[in-house]
Amino acid sequence: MTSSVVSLQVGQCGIQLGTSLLETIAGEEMNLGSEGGLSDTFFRQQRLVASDSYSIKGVIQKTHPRSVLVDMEPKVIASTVRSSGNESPLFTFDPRSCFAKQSGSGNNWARGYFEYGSQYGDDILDKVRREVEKCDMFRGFLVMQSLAGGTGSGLGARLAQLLKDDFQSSFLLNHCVWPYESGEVIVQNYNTLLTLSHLHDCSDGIIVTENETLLQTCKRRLDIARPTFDDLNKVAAKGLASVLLPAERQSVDPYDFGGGGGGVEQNLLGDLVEHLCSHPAFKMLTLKSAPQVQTKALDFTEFKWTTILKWLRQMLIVSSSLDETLDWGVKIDSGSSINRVHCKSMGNFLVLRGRGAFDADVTTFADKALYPSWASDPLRVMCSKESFLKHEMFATVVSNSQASIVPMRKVLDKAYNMFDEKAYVHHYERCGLSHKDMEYAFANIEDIIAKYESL
Amino acid sequence: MPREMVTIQVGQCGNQIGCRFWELALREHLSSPEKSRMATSTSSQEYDDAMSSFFANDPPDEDHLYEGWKKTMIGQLRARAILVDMEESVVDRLQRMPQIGNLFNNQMRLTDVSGSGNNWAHGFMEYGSKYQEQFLDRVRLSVEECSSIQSFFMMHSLGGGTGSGFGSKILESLEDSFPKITRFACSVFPNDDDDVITSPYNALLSANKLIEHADCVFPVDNQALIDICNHIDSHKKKSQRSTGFRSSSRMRRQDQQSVTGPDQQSSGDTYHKMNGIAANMLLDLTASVRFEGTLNMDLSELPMNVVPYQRMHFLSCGLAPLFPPQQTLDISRNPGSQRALADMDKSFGSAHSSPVNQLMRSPVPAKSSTYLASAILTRGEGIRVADLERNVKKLQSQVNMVYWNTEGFKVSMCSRPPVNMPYSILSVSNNCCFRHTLSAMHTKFNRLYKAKAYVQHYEDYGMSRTDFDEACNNVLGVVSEYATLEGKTHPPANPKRRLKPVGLNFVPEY
Repeated sequence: MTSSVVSLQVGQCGIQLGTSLLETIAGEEMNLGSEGGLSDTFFRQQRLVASDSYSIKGVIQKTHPRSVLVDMEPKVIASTVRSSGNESPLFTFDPRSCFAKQSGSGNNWARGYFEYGSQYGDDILDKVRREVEKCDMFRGFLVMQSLAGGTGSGLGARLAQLLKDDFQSSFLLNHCVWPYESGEVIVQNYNTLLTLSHLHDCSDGIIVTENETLLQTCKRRLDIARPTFDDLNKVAAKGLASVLLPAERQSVDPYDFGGGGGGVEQNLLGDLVEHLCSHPAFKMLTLKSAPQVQTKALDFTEFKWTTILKWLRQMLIVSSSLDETLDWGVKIDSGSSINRVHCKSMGNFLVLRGRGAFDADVTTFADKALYPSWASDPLRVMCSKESFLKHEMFATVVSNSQASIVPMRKVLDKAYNMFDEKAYVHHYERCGLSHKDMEYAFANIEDIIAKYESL
Repeated sequence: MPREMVTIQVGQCGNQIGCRFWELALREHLSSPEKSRMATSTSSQEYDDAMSSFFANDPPDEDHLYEGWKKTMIGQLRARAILVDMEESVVDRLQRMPQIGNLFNNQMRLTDVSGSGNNWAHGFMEYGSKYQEQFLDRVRLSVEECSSIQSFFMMHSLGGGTGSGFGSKILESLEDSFPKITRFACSVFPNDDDDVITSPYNALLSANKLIEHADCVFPVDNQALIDICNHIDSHKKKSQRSTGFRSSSRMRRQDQQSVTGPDQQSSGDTYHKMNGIAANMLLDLTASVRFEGTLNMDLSELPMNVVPYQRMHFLSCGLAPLFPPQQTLDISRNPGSQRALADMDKSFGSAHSSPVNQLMRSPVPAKSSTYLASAILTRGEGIRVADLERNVKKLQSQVNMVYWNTEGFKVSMCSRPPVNMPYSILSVSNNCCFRHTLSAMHTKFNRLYKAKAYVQHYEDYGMSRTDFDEACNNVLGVVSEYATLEGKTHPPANPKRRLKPVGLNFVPEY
């Protein structure tokens, strides 16, 4: 029996990204040719009322994903449900698991958190509970949201708290989209700080994906000159999906007989949270994948595990999410390198997919210098021999590392500038967020940064 | 169903803009691409979600079943509007208009016969107290029809008596009765050569109320609208001259589509065109609420993003392109064309800061002044997120932004283009240079007030000198608030103290 994850998609960004993710997962699972339809992890199983003889093998029935869609305006949910009914051949969203209201959060974090959180929190939680009850073995939540807007950030943060209160023994993983640096929403820095500060208090782990990186990946690696939001979502979904599909644990230490060889694990997410988020002060996760190649070029490109892992490791060390223009000057053994300090990790979770994944040499990732001295067993490797999305080989590393310091510091500095001049503060105060509350959020983020810097 | 907006048109000017607005709004909703295949008469069309934000519908008796879905067809459409004027003629004429006249009924109308005599106090004090309850009753009626009302949109002018005086009262009572519903005002500022002698008083007194009671004000200036009209006319002449004689009639027909809307009346009717520009601005502003898009913007997000301080909410608008580009330069038809792309990029620049495209003239060029925040609202599928990002970055580097908001651009994308245009860009910006408009207003006010000219007409209706002084101080207060932010494009040399870690605990230090 496999354990299940209920996903919560909040706000326009969360819904669009989540849909893209579910489509990727469903497509992959069908490619693997599992006969029973989609796996239990993210999708409800079809319960047939009539006897089994009516269901013909090979005919795929449309199932519902285990997810709840929440938005404060109806247009996005309506079009998502509509298009998943028509276009996607694999699943449809259950309209009963959708929650939409009319009013919109107006980019105001406080309105999403206080006003809508207390108004609709119970109703949304009811829908979540219904979804959880449909699971045979429930493991935890994946909440997808953006940090910039009002609904995803404000209401999303409140929902995360409510979930943690009600489901204390389940894990809670948040996937957050970091806004463009140039800005799509002017108050995004406030919203980002407030969300991160609240999530850090209640969530188990926060995976952060930057819009800017997705855009650059599309432009430089995938040769899309003018990417649309759909393209960005697909890139993000690809990275995340590679972590969520089944894989088998491989032992890093040859003398360790405890781990590894436990057979294929269907649901890596619980493992990931357990492994990476073991310390309550360190919850910021980043996700890096290699190689990023256009689909049409895949047939003509040859991959080797050694090169892919070398790239990936360097991406990890210099904390870049793009597998090009890497700073190869940063090395771990050259302790004398001036000004260029490598990025330390609390722990890494490496997923290899493709031919020969079990034989790949991952010892470079186990290097003690990558981790703080007190970390024990910081690396976990999961392998699967199935290829992923037509990639012959694909590697992803989720790491709990210092990589999130830089963007957090940038946002903090900009928010300080605004906060010093008290700009936009009255919008938040009107919805019940006091000056002190905002100061607390600032202090909380400073705290997180300082702790990561001390690694 | 999208959120509804209730429009309130006050005074002669407000009703004339409103008249044009409804004409264009109806055209926009009835000429949607999927509907153009069907008959164009209102009777056989579906009443869709997008329509419900402006129009209420009394469906015909029989429900039509269409493609398995039950759809509501258009029966009798009613505008979600309230028409207020203290004389009857304009509203009467509006109700007799051929196409849009039956959008309105007498329940939505509030009129008197005598007019406000260009006296702010007459409108605010006398009519204000006399008609406040009647007005609120009408508002409640239309709010009850909405499933989730989002905003009030008031159109008025500041020069006369009704629009300025009673309009101020309206804002005040709306804030009292519906504090959570956003209040927008599209205000026509008086010209330099205004023929109303008391207009300096009226303008300043209503500016005072706009500062206090509105959430956002979109100032519009007659002279700027005339300039836009002239610009379009000169473009038309140029294109007629350049094309040969034989094709000119076809060209002319095509060129008549511009932001002024179709010319039904004689082309000499400048007011008609000017109102069309203002109406188009309002349609573009609300497009993202009504139609689908990849980056939706709710109207309530606008004050959240471009009003950093509560009292500084005067947003100048710029529209581009003013007329449809030639076919070869149309980005939606030639997505790969570099020239079309360059033409679109130019539109971004001119919507944001070219003086010709602004709906409000500024005594000081906006570009040389400090921007507090901006919003770029695009319509049309030709514009993609990458184009938006590229152009916003370019604009950010070109203009002076206040130092704590160097990335201060809010963007939104709506898929549906305006009628007869491939795309449009509306820029809304909060610029420090607006203080010059306010202080010019104050100078003109003071010229009269020093001599206490005409003051007794205001005192007749119960206003006192202190009311004048308070209004004056309030406006000057906003002027100085804008002035302190002017030029603050670099962070101060010694920033304030930050929160610093103390061991592993953090204590706010200030």
